[in-house]
Amino acid sequence: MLDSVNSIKKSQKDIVENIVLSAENLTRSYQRGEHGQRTFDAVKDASLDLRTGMLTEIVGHSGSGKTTLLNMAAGLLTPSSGKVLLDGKDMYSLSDNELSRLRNEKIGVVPQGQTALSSLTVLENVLFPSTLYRRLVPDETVDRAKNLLCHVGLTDLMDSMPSELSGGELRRMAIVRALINKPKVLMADEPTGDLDKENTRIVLEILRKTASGGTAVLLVTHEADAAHYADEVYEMEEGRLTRKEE
Amino acid sequence: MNRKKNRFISWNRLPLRSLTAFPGRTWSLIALTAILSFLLFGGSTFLKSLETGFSTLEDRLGADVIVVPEDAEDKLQKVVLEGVPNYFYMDKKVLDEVEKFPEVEKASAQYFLCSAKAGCCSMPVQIIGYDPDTDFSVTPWIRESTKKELGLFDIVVGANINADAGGQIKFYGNTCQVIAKLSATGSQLDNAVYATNDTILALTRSSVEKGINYLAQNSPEDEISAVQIQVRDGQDPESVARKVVSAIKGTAAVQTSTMLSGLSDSLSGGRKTIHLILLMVWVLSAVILFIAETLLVRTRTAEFAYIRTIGASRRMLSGMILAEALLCGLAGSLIGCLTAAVILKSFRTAIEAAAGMPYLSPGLKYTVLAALLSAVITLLSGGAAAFLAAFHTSRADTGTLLRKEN
Amino acid sequence: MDQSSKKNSGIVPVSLAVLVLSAIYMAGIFTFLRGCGPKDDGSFMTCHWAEMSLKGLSAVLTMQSVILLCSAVKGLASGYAALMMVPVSLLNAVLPGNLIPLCMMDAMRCRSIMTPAARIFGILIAALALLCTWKDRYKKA
Repeated sequence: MLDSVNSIKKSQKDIVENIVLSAENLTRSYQRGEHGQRTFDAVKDASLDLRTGMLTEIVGHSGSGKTTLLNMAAGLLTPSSGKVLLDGKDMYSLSDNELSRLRNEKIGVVPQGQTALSSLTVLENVLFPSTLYRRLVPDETVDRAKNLLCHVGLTDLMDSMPSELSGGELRRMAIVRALINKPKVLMADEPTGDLDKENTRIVLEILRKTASGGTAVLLVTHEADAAHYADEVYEMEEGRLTRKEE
Repeated sequence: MNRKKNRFISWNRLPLRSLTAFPGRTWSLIALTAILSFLLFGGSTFLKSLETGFSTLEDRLGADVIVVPEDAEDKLQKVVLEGVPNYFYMDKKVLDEVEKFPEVEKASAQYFLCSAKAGCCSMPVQIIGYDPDTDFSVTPWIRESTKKELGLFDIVVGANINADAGGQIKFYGNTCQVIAKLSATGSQLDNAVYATNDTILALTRSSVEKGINYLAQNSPEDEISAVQIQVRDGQDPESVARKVVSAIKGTAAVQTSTMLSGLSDSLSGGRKTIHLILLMVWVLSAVILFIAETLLVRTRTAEFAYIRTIGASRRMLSGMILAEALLCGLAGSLIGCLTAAVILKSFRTAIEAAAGMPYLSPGLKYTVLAALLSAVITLLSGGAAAFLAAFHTSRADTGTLLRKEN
Repeated sequence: MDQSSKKNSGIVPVSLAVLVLSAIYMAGIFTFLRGCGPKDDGSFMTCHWAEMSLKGLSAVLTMQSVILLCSAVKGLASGYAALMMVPVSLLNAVLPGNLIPLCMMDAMRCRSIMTPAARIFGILIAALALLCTWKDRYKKA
């Protein structure tokens, strides 16, 4: 398995590794106490670049600030200071409408936990991001969704409801959903959190292939095996981000 | 693949899909809004029906003053307002005396016969003898007729009698021909039957033969029950009433406006009470609806955070929540108003009897307007509740919502 | 649970509603929804026979709804059981005043209370029974 991963990595040397998303000096503080008299810094002055074709991993203990950093990078959480540039644009200078649309078109997020709309089928959940800013989904997008579901082994469950899926199947569905709009960046927060070894392997391989296909992938995890799939590994400790040497 | 096959995949259809996917939650909201609109529409229509019945009765009575035997005022009130069939008699000469007054423009006599224990019904029927030639309180209210003059055993029936013009009803073994039906007044006068004195006489004889009527000593040839008076323009009915009483011994004169004023006071008092009760229950329902909408939004925080994550703006999310609330509100309004309309229409006569007051449906125009207004108020209530809850949720950073959920 | 069972899980609450309505109607027609009483001499008016018929029909509807609910809970094909309730409830709705005559005056109990109740319950039960039939459409007998 390791050999195949390494060979994929080696073959990617030919892809020009452009910076797609750049997080600069991000800090996020929370007020604590009854009157907000205490300040807690979840993330302290973190900087991070995400490049096309590369899988960047952030490891750290629970509560180290990994998720907070991912959320800020994804445009979901306004930083207390710092900026996030996507294709050169400062995301947090945009209006909510503009930022939401940008997120829909260019960033795919696989949030922590099980996230699916219970009222939609698996196929509808996957296609859901492509319906937000269109009246009708193009047939090509529907075909692409079915292909992606086939790649992750969910063809037979296309018309099932999310409640009928296992944890691993839901996670795979979430990844496909995040990829449906062909985003430039894919961010996955603890995608293997509650999965068994087999499903963990499948999910990590999917993320690896996605990166190899040209998407910039950010993986936040405390899974020990994930480092083998990553091109870059960062460590988060008490809100501080440091790059790990290979 | 053709477009028709993926028609279900659409942001606009999501509110409806969310509602149908969770029928328990949806039907609870619909039930709450249905109760709101039921109270609004039902309550306002009920009150309006009482007012309509009252004003129609005023017109229906026709007369300004009604002359009756002394001590028979209460009995007259029972007949007209409470629908308790009754009988009282005075000499027919009273009519001649009344007609002599210069202030009197029109006068017409009526004879009250009570069909208690008759063969047709378990409840007594008021049969009123009248003179079609001088009458001014019955004829103007004829809704449908076979256009025939009243002969022997020809009757005119009130709106609540289940026979149409051209039909037949039996009284004391006599087949009576219905030649006209009166418009509804919403009062107990709708339960009365009108006939000429000849018919009354014949029916009285039949009832005696059957051993039912013990009023055999009274006859419409010699006696009358009441004289209806219309005073000339510019004359004061109160002074005319006083003159009649002082001039004709053994009589009492009832001003119809006085008779109805007590009813009017009851109606006012009742209206205020009903308004207060409706307001209290409505406020309570609105509060419960607000709490329900707020709790519902709170339990769906993860779902809303996810929708924001994939790129829905705050406005889109708020719009989605509002759309769901409005759909529930629309369905609830429809159900509530329809239920109220069906109950009020179907049980009209039972409500009239229970209210003890004239009760007449206000007509289609008012009903439609009241239903629309009730629906709008209900939609606004539900919408406001959902809007406030949605506003609060959409303002929060999505990352914060996700953090709380995990 | 197989696909057809999952799709038809909504039939149980609806058949429960049918039972509740039928039971309320049956209890009502014997008590607060009854028609006119006997005359003083103990004889009955024409509406009495309408009332007796409605009592019988209400009992039949209640029994049918019990059978419907039991079959729905057990996951059996309930569509036919529901469909059989439709003509009975519609008969209940049209019987008073049309098939069996009633008293003369609208203010009498048979017309003011019994008949509207029979119509409303009859139509409601028929509608819900049809809904059960529709919900059961995937199930094979």
